[in-house]
Amino acid sequence: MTRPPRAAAWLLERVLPRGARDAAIGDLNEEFAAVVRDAGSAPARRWYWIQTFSLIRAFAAEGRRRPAALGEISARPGGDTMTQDLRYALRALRRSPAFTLIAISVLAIGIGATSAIFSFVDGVLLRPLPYREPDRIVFLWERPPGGSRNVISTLNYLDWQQQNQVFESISAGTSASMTMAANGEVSQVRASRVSAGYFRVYGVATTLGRAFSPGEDQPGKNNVVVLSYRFWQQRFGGDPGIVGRTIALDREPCVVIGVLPAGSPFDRGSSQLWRPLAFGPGELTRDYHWLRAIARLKPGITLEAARANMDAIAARISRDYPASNKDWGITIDRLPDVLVDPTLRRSLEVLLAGVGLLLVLGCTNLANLALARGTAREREVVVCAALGASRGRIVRQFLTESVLLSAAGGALGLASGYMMMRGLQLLLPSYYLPREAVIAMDWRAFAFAAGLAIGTGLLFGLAPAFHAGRVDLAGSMRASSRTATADRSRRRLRDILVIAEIAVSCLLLAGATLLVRSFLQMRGVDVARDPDRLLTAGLLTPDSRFSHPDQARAFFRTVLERVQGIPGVTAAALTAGLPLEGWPDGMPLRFAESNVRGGAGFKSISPSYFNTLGLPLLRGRGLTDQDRKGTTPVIVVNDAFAKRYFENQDPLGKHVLIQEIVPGQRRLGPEIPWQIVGVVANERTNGLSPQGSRGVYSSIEQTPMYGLSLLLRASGDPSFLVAPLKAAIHEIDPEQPVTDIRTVAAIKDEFVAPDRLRTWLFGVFSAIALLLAAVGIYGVMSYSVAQRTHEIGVRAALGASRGRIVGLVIRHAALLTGVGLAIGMAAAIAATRWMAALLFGVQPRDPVSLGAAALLLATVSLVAAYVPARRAARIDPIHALRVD
Amino acid sequence: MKKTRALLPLGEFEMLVLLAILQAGDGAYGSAILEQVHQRGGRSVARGALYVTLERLDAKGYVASRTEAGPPVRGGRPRRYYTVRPNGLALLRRSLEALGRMREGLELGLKHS
Repeated sequence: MTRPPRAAAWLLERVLPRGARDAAIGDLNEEFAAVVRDAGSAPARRWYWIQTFSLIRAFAAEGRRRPAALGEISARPGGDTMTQDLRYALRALRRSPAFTLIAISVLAIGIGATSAIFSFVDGVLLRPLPYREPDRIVFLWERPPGGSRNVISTLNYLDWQQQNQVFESISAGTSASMTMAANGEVSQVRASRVSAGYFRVYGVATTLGRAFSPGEDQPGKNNVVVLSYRFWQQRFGGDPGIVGRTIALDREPCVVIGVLPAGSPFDRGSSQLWRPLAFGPGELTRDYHWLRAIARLKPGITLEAARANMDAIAARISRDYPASNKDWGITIDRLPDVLVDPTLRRSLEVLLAGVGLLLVLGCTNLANLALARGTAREREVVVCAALGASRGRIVRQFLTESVLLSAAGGALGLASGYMMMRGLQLLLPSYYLPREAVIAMDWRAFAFAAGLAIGTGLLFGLAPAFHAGRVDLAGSMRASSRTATADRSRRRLRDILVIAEIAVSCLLLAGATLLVRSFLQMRGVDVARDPDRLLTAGLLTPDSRFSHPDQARAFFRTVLERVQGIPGVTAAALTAGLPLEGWPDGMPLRFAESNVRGGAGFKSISPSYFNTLGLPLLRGRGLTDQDRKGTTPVIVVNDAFAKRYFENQDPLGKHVLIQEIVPGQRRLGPEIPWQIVGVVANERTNGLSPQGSRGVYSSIEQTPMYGLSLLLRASGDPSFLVAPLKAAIHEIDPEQPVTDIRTVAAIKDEFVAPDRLRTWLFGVFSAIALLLAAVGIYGVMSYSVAQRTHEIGVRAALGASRGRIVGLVIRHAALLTGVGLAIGMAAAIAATRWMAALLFGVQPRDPVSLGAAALLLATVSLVAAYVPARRAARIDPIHALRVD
Repeated sequence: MKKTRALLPLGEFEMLVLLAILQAGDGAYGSAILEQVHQRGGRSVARGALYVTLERLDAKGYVASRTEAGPPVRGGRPRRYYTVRPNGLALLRRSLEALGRMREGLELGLKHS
């Protein structure tokens, strides 16, 4: 049997007045059955809808015709509908546009900011990873003696691959810059070389063509390439015939076999294309660590089982190859556990907490505002109650109003949140978020904003609602005088709200001052002398570029000479790694004299590096042009190195055994006894901390490298050097790319960009918090002064001085501020410990920061109270006494 | 407030509805009344207008209503039967009489217009 349309029936149920409802719907159903019989079900349903609208229109018009007043609420006790609530709420809000506007803006900003931060938290921390069964994906590392994670050597990886029984697929990979020739254009692309099983580990299929087949990572079969969707779109215009086309990568022809799906993590990662990783004969070594590995656990294999299996393999390798693998183990991490950097996780948590507190603060302020407005509406409520509206009914009416406001705020908040999210995305460096993170405003963010809207509506609506429900009928009906009892309870409620506001602002402000102080400390760190005069540029060279290290030596010698000759260049240097970009290599080492083993960073530089950077030499000498191939191999160690290994001894003249780094090859040469000739101050290699990580410097003449960076000190504006620099390099080799031209100051700026953004956001949150707290204090004090006009007038008449009256008001404000600060500080001391990981050079309980926050808040609240206090002092006793 | 005696105390549609209730007799519930207006009035009326008018007449005390269980197709919702109360009848009669007096002597003219 055909049933009437359910939605229409539901609508009627809601809209028709109760008396008419049942009979009208029953009649409609009865006739509907007849229409179905005569005309069929589809026309009958249409008919039903037409009748429904006829009824709704008529009853709605009838409702409007009647005089609508608050009395209406009481006129139908129990028989009210939601539409009525809403209609009345709309009318009430229209009557006070200022309040409505303020409330909606506060909510829109609060909900918007919270949703924007939430979209990041959701994208980075909450969303499931976009891979098939991501819990089975693991990262594999070698575990060096005394360390935890290290890249992997070729032969060790191959042993893992052949001997493990726990992985469904395993893949090694390394990233590289390649030159690509396609469509008659030559360009530099970011590529990865990966084992054939790479995409199977992630469980990602291609959208076009195919991924690598097993065996394609063998030499001779590896001339194939897979493109990311984005790269395919950008570089090949989404050419549908791309599969099967041949492009040249590092001058080798490669056939495009597949394109990855759109919007996949591979679109957001750094690599643009992938080639199979086939090991050349020179790469089959056990002591050169260079690979990263991922694997997919077989179904049912636990992480513990995998670790046990790999530990056994590591023990075997260590036993068989003690020269390279003594005491080396294997570390396994589950992908979901290591994907998000702990600092990023904490940043997001702290920001969400901050913005959430701000929203709570906004609600408290609105509750306060609504309470003040409740005073003005008291008469209205009393009339309503007198006409028979129940207390529950009045509470519901007030709540409907606040939820209506927050719904409007939520809708606007979603729009403003979207804009804030896009803004934040633009401000964040692209590498900062994991490539798996999808930042979007979708139904999840929508549901979150909707939940917030309802929650905030209830939160700031409850206090005034219950207060309205408790109106003292008899007292308020007496038109002239306000009774003390009703006022006192409302005043106490508002005092409590102000204390809460001050406490919450105090917490936010404490967090903000800590972050600001920490950021100022970071800004104060000098990575180099005059870093904005130091220009850097990358000179990328493929391994195939030089057939012998001597060619590289000659090339870079020429480069340095030419560049030093550019007018405006006061100093120039070459280096294997720029400041804040980490050590280019990490090397195990041994001391010839004591046979102590250890490890340190290793950097090849031209002798002019320390001077160009402005790094002071602490002891001994620096590197010189006399330290060449064939002369005594020498190194300069940094302060951290000297302190770690030569606590009370003189490091100069001691010998460190480190294997030779062979340029362009995946192997290490024999151990070289490096003589320590100098100690240099710690360079900021990995971070801004002055402790630094231990490292050694060798001359590029003694340890040649193929890919180096240039460092130029300019006498004036370094941007004028860019064109001459490029010209000089291209004069030597027109095909040599010159990449990433920027100053050291810019490198540092990018390094601290996430900290800057976080500090700014928190600063803005707390500035708003401060403003809201000031408005709260001001509102409460003004109200209190207005209420006490009579009393103050009497005091003035009896001879109280202006100062005493100002003091009276200020004392009240000071009391509220004091209590709020005490609560806020206690909370701050408990909560800021949680921020420790985000702070640089500042303790979480830093008394200066916390004290500054408290002082600022106290000052602002007393200033906010001073204005109403002055008003109180100017009250004319005659006038005040006449009022009543 | 001063009470005025209106010439036509009922509106046109109210008269139609009251007459339809009388015509439907014992079975005067919503659908039946609508049917009467349709057939005898020769006019299609909006359903909403009828129910609103019934409510209004009820509120003014011109009609009385009782509810009785209806056939199962109504989904358990009762039928509401209307009867015209004496004061409603009196007003209807007055309205009709007024119309009648206005019409006196005009039969021919009306018939041919």
